[in-house]
Amino acid sequence: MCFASTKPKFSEKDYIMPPRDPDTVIFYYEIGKKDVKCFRVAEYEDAYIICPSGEIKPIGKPGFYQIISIPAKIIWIRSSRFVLSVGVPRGVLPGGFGVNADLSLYLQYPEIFIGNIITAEKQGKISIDDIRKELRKLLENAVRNLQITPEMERRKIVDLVHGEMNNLISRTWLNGFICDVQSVGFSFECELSKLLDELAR
Amino acid sequence: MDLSIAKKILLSVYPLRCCPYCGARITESKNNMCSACGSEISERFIRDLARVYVEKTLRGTSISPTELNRAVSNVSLVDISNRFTSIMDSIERKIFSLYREKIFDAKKSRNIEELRRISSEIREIKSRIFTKINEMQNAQIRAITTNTIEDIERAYKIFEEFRNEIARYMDPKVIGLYVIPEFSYLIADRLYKAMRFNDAVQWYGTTITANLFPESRPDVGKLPLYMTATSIPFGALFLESYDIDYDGIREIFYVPSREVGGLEIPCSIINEIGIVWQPFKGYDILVPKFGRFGDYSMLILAWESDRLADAKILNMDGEEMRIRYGDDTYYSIPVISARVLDVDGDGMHELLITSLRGRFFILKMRDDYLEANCLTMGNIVDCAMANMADGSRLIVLSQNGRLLEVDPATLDIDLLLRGIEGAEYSSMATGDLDGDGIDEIYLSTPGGVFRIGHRDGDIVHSKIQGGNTLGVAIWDINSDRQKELVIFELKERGIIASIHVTKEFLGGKTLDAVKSYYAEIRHMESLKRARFNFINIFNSRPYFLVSDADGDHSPEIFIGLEKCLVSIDMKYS
Repeated sequence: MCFASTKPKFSEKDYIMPPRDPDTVIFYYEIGKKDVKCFRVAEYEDAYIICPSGEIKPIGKPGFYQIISIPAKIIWIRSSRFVLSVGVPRGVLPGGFGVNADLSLYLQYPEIFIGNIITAEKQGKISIDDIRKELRKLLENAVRNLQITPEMERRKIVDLVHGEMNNLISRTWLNGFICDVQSVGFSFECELSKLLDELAR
Repeated sequence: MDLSIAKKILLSVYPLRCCPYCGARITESKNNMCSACGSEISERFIRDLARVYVEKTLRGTSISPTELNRAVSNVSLVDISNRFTSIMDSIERKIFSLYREKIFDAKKSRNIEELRRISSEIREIKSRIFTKINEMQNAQIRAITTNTIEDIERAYKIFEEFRNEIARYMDPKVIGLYVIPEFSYLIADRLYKAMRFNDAVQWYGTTITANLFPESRPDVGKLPLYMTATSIPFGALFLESYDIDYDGIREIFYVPSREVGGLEIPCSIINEIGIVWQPFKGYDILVPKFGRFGDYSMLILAWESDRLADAKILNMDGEEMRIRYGDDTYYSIPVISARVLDVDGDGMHELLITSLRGRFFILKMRDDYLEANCLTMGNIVDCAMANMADGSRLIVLSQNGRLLEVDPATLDIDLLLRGIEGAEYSSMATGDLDGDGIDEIYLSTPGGVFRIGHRDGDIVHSKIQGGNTLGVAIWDINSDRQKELVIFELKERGIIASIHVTKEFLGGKTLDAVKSYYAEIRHMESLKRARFNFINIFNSRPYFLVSDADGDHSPEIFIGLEKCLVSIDMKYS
């Protein structure tokens, strides 16, 4: 084990943590000789550590940790942001409708994902927009491949899209994540038209 | 209509929209782009939608649509959408924290069905939150506009229901964003008059939170547009600030003075809707002290009775710390006031305790106990560290009007100044405003602000402003990377803040007043400054805390007066 639990520190200068910016959902940092050796994992984050041996260890509980041997790379994942909606606007898909999906991402195989994203850089980050862009592409491809139409039974659409997106995700840099599709909706279901009527009045 | 109220209303109607291009409910959007599909939605379109929602919300209240539209048109939608992203993030963080273990277990056992159930529960909670927020805010607006007992009571019940059902999924500061301060003050005031003091403190705290949020960030080079003041009709016994939940915003810990009977709150966080802070039971008063104390980042002063000066010092696990003083060991000491400072400059903090009979303890953490040094200098009203000509010194102000400096290495005491009038009503600040590398000392007394500094090796002092001054804050108020001096003065029924900048004058440095602000303290019949009372030690005392309590990078000021606490916020937009 290249890390151990420690007591909370007084000042932010005494430990390393990812930026507070809600757009940054994945952040990694290599703790070297000159860095403070303590880091924090928040209640809303999952974290993994790549020990000097190359072994990837998950950090089970939130709290403060001390690095025992260096260099060690810490990867923070702001998992709380991974219950999200993605959509494909109308005009992109054949049929003239837009589509949206409520989905959740779970990191099931951290070794695969971490291996894909980590570079030799001391630190790096991935934003929620990067993830959304990738998921948008996946949703678009899934709807195209499956030739989804609004007339199909909704439960069936959800199951098909779920299966196809998980099939497609394994070919992207998001491989390692499971994408759980919970619902699928269409652009014409937006209640905006009623509001526009109200606006006109 | 006040701009901050318009912002609060817009924030509550904002998430109810959906995207016309993909159909997703726009739970958040950045720069007017649908976060789900990335399509751009015109600002005018969003503004019109917001107007319809707001009009629907306020139908039947006395707020005129014209007035409302004017206020809404002055709010930046980009600001609202960015703010909403932070709110959403905060809610998601809180919900995830509560589900964390369940998610962890489901992931470990690869139970996809359970994960699906959890996600759908999370979505359902998020959606319920915004419906309830809307309902809660509508009821508050109705209550303050109609001012009928029925509407006030209804709004109160909805808020309490919200607090019980939903509050655990939200950061209290986020709840404050949606509360209309006039409403919470109305409730607090009624509870106070009904002598339900504990409940009243919570509602006054809610009012302070509601006034602080949404925060207004300073623009580079611009001075604040106006200043707001909120009050609590209880004095301050202790005030502390620290970011205890690591969200980037400091919490303000407040212990109300004990002039009235029946007030039993050991400590309250007044910028988090007045929630009670009580990590350990069995104490009448709890005061957290933050610093680098060996392995600990917090020590807690704990009074078992608010009639006895003796306080225990607890560590973060609630264990009593031993205090070694010479050959003796104590488990409690009389504490009148306490400060945390790095006196010896070793990077670790010491706890400085003003005790009874003029004793002043410097407690240093050693392994698992506190080592005490005692100085007898008279009753100490205030203390601070200052970088003086001979190095770092502890500066203390005593009740009998003496200003002393203590050499941290030898604990030798030197007199800097004597005859300070009204010292027991005064407060002190230190800082280097003239840029000579040596700190000046600023004493705020009932007769004005005195600056004490060095010139040619001598200690010199001058009165830089007259009036009933309460305290000074040294900060870069206009983000121009130059610190300004802000003097706060008690005037009639309010507080005046005057901003002074350092300017060159005949080869020297002088302070020049550039702008002043006045905020009336409503609802308080008379305002008096508090006196440091060394006999009735749990009564109001003078307090002057400068701390960024809303994360806007501009500090708020908390002033302890006689049976009154005032929270001051500078507004830039």
